[in-house]
Amino acid sequence: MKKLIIATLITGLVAGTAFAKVTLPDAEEITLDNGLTIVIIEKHNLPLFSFQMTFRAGSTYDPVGQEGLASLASDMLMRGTPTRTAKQIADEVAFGGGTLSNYCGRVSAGLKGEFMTDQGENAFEILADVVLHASLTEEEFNKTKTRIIGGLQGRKENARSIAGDAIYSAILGDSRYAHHSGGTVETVEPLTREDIAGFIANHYTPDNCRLVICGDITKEAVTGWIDSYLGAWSGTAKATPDDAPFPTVTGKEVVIYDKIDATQTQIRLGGNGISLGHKDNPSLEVARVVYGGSFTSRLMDEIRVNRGLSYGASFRSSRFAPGGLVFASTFTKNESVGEVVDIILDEAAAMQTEIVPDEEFTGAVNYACGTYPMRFETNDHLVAVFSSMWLNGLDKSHYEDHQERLRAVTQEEARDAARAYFARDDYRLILVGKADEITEQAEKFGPVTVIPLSEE
Amino acid sequence: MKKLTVWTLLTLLMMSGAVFAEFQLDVQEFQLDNGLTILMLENHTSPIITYYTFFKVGARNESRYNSGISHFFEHMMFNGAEKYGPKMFDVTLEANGGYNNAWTSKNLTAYYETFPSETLELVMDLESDRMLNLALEEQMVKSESGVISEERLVSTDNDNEGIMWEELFATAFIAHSYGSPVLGWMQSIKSFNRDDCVDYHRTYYAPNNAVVAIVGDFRTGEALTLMEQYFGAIPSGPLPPEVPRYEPEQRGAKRVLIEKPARHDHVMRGYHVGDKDSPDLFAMEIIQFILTTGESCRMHQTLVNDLQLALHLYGGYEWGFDPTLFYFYVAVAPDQSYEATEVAFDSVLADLITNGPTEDELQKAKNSLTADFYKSFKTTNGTAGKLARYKTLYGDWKVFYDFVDNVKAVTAEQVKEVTARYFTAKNSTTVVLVPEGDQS
Repeated sequence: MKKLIIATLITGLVAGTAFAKVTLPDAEEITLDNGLTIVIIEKHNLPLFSFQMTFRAGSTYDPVGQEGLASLASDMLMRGTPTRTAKQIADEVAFGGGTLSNYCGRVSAGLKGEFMTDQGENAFEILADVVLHASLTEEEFNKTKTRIIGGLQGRKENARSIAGDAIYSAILGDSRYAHHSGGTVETVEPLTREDIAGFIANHYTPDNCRLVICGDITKEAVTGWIDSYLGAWSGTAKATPDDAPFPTVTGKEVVIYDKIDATQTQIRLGGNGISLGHKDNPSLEVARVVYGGSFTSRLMDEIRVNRGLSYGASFRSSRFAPGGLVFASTFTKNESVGEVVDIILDEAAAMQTEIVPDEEFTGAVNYACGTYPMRFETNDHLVAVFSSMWLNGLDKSHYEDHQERLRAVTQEEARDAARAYFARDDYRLILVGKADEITEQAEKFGPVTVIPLSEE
Repeated sequence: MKKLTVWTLLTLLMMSGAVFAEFQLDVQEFQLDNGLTILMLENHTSPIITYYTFFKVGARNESRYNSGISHFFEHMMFNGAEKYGPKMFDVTLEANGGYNNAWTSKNLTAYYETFPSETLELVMDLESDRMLNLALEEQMVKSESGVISEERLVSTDNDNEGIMWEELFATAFIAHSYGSPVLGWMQSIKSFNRDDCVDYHRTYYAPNNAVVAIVGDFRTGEALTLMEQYFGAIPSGPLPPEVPRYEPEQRGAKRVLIEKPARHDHVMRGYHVGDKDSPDLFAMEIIQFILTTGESCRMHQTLVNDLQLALHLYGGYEWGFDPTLFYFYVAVAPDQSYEATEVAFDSVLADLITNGPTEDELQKAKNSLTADFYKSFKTTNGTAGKLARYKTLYGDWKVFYDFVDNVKAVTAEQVKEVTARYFTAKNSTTVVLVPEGDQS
């Protein structure tokens, strides 16, 4: 009845809606003799430019037992060169009104920044210095490692962080994609300066890098700076093993992380998803929006709006080359945990058995298509997009045809995606809350393992 | 065509020798007969629009007995009006390719939507419906009480920083409403009823207490006609009651010690400072940057880098109608103590008070603040938010043109003097959280 009322009211509003199609700007691509590829996108509406220097050097490249190495290596880039201390790097960037920071995700790591146009050459000089000449001094290494270990310990205070890490581990098992990019105290503690130097030598090489620049710059200026500061860069990346397919989640398992002071429980429930470029991507995306991908999704509607059991609920899909994972994410007071998990499973079952009504389906597609152009508004957005194209082997059509592919999805295909990827008989359920108050509620969802956080 | 000229002009001016000196936006300002202020700025670079509505009300307009009503009401604005019933605001907007959100602070409440260009009229219909004819059904009030209780549980009761934040303001302010949390005390959240919401809507949500800013891919003339059509008939209301500014002078340092399960110590410190019109406002912006912004700031260099007492830290304050609190937070490293951290923290302050900033340090702060100011105009959302915020706070959005000049005018001596005047032990409130058992 609820859906019928909604459908009747919005039919007239959404009929014939065709939002602007995404068109990526022209980009100039240059490959240097050393293998470095550079992408330049000129966009002269503000005197600013952004850049991203991406390396295939994320946490999936951590050797087994050295989880956190990639992240620590990324941090060390900013910790000083023979001509600049870490403070001087930060001072110079800030003095020019710019930003420069390192990052490390699962697949890639590198540097991102934004500068005023008139600081262009200065920005490239600093960027090249930190990438090519990181000092890795003993003092800075020890300080950085100590701070990272402290941060990893502090992370155990936060139920959201614990739950987010745990669902990846539970679904992806031994995969190189399973662990948090920062690693653990136990794996970071033994890392040495030599480990960092080796990682940088093996992965931070020009043939393993793409530099994307977007904004108020010119090709002539950028190529001049590149020649001056990155032209002599050399090195060859070490070959990395092929990705193994993700393990298949079978059966039901529940893990409770016992946080004895929690009056609210963080909930994650999910299983296997799809890889990048998988043919089911559009249908899963539409099904995801209906189920838990917007404010008006079914999970939000039932958990938050109808029952007032949480502030938010969502369903996420993470896709990587060898596979993916999908999971619902929410939180509720301890006494409502069983009710909320029931809703997650019941709504998944409804998506698997019934066709999404016409108007609800059209609304979800419109939402996905209408909000899509907002991901391409700024220089930062565009450098991320063009970096991802290289990293994941995508071309412009992946983005420019995305809305069209979503519009081609049928209600039956969305139902089939829900059947294939939404939880039913095989899932992992993570609960971070007070075990005394939630274990009994959790037992109906599968065999329960309780892990005291005091022992984590 | 005209708007293309505007953004091109902006670019040229910013790139000229006097970078930013003549920064101008072609904002069109209107006021309907009912007092609704409307700011419009065309920008046709992307086929999207952001629509902001600011109401001049926040937690400062509450008493300790109805704390959280502003935030509670913000939620109720999404729970149905006359034309668009419960759920229909979000359902309709999303089905037409848009998204929205809202926030409440101690001073202001804001709502925004970002959406494809062709959805503008629909957004006006949605917004005018809830400004004039909000339903406020009792059932929705009860349901929303559960939602906000969960919001409070996740952001305050089960979050160590959240707990400290609440204690800091409640301890620092003994008379002013800035002492109450924006989310409200749990008892308040659970006790609000329909009548509370009706009174609140009548008092604070009249068009003459609101500012609308529209930025993006639209035509001003057409949009103004539509605004008159949708909002023109909404009656104005009496001006909301004045908020008592009174807060007695603090007579000495205040301290709170919290014990609960934690992995490390945490320190939060607040100092009473001025309001949005304070002559010290821009010196305070510089002080915030020098002490707490980025890796090169003094607190990071001393506490995180040199002494390794802290994992990370931040500081800041909200520009407010009334004298507010400048706050610092320090996550103490697991093997370090809050006592040693506070000693180092105080030494950093003492050095700035004694020696002031270096010339390079001062210039770095000015350059960064200037660049950040202009970067905030990169998106339709950032621009619309800035326009509406300044208009609501100051009554004139053009005040932001003075930001860069005001920052540039701050002297090293002024930084030194302002730091010395505000950052005193007597004026401080400190909240420390330690792992349970550490203080027994």
